[in-house]
Amino acid sequence: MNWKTTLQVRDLEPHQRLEMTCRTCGHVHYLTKPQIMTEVERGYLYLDELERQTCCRARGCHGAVRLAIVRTGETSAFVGGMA
Amino acid sequence: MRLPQTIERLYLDFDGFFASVEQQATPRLRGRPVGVVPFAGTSRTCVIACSKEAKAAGCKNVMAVDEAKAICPDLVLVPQRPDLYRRAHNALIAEIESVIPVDAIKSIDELTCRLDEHQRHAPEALAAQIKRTLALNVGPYVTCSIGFAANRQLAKMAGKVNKPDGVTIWHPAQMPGPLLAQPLDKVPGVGPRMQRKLAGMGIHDMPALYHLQPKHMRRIWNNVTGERLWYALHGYDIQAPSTERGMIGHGRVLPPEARSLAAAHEIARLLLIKAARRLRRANYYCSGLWVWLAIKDGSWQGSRSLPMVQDDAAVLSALRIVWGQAADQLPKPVTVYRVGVTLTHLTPDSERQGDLFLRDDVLRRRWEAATRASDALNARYGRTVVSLGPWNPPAGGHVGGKISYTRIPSAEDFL
Repeated sequence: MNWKTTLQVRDLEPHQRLEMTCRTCGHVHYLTKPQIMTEVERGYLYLDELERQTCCRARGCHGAVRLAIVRTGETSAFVGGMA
Repeated sequence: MRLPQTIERLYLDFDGFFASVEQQATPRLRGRPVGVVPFAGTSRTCVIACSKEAKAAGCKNVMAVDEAKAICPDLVLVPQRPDLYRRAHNALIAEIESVIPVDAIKSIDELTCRLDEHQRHAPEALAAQIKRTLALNVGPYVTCSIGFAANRQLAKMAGKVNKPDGVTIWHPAQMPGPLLAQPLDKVPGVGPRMQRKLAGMGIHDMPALYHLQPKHMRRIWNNVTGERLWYALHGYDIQAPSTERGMIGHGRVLPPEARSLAAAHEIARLLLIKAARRLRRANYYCSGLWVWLAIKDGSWQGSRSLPMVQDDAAVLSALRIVWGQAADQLPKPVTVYRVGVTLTHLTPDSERQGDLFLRDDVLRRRWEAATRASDALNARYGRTVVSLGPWNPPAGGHVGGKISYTRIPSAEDFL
């Protein structure tokens, strides 16, 4: 059991992006909540289920993907060494 | 200012992060002393991260490769893989957030959390749960040290006491005993220069620093940071103030074959396109470009004001002008060792104003549409398939994917 088995698509923030990295070729594509929720029922998918249902979008690959939450990349700065 | 009466913060620091991620990802490295280096194939560089086995043998981070090899002949050198560390960071943070909400990410291998009422009474159980979750869902080779204290600063210091894979709890009731036992250089914010300054004032150890007055520390530091540090060391609820982004830039040490001005320009152009892509992803416009070159026996810098822009064509034309100034002013031939480009004077895209005199709004919007189209194509294909001008990344790769204290790159930074 990990974090993907406890979060559903409907739990995500509207602007939240999911990063899908191909386990075969390394190609990365992104999904947003509106892109995933083409039907209301898909909001009830757990993220591990979504990961299993998604495949690589690189031409001819269709490999399995690894799902990750995309963060903004901004860190909270140390100011004068203060944490 | 509030003085907490119990532990309120957790500070988590991964042990030898880059090296332990390499050990987790590559089974042949497990149990061996590992040193991560910026590039393969040269000994004229330094080890940027050591595994715990290498540290036990006497190696340290940011140690010259030759020196590290002399101390530990079995040291296995592996070139850095920033994208692997980025992905590991994302996976680890997601697992930690399944146990406790993350209050702030301080760097790629450090984060801090607030404790709720229940967690304040059972910190050992919380630390064990975090470590168990990470070991189970990520792997047992990426370990972390956790500190608990009244504020972030003390929790960070506590976390360093029992490395690797330790847990340290500094209850306010126990303080300042454990703190006074620490050497001065263990205080974040007290570097070698500040230590020399303190020594000149007769302050050689932690008790001497601890018993200063807050205003005295402010005077020594010459700014408010000294006073803030006093309150942090005395257990008050204080932390680094939040900061706003003021610039976006990239820099790179040039490989030996690209140290002419013309070759440096090609890399500067590439770095600038990467910086402009980040600018757009962060929804900013910039109004200035700053270029910095490290040359033999010195440096050169130049800048150029811009209208509020974010498209590649505008920033590249500014680079051309600044580079022309560099070509005029620098001696010939010149050897360029390092190049840095920075987009300055950032404005959120919701606050963009057209230039009153330039009247280039129509042209800018067309370039912005073209740039958006190329960004979308690059994102769709997961690599740079469209760029303004040639796209020839230099040897060593990772352009724009540097991991710094202030930024963790995204997958798009590696396109």
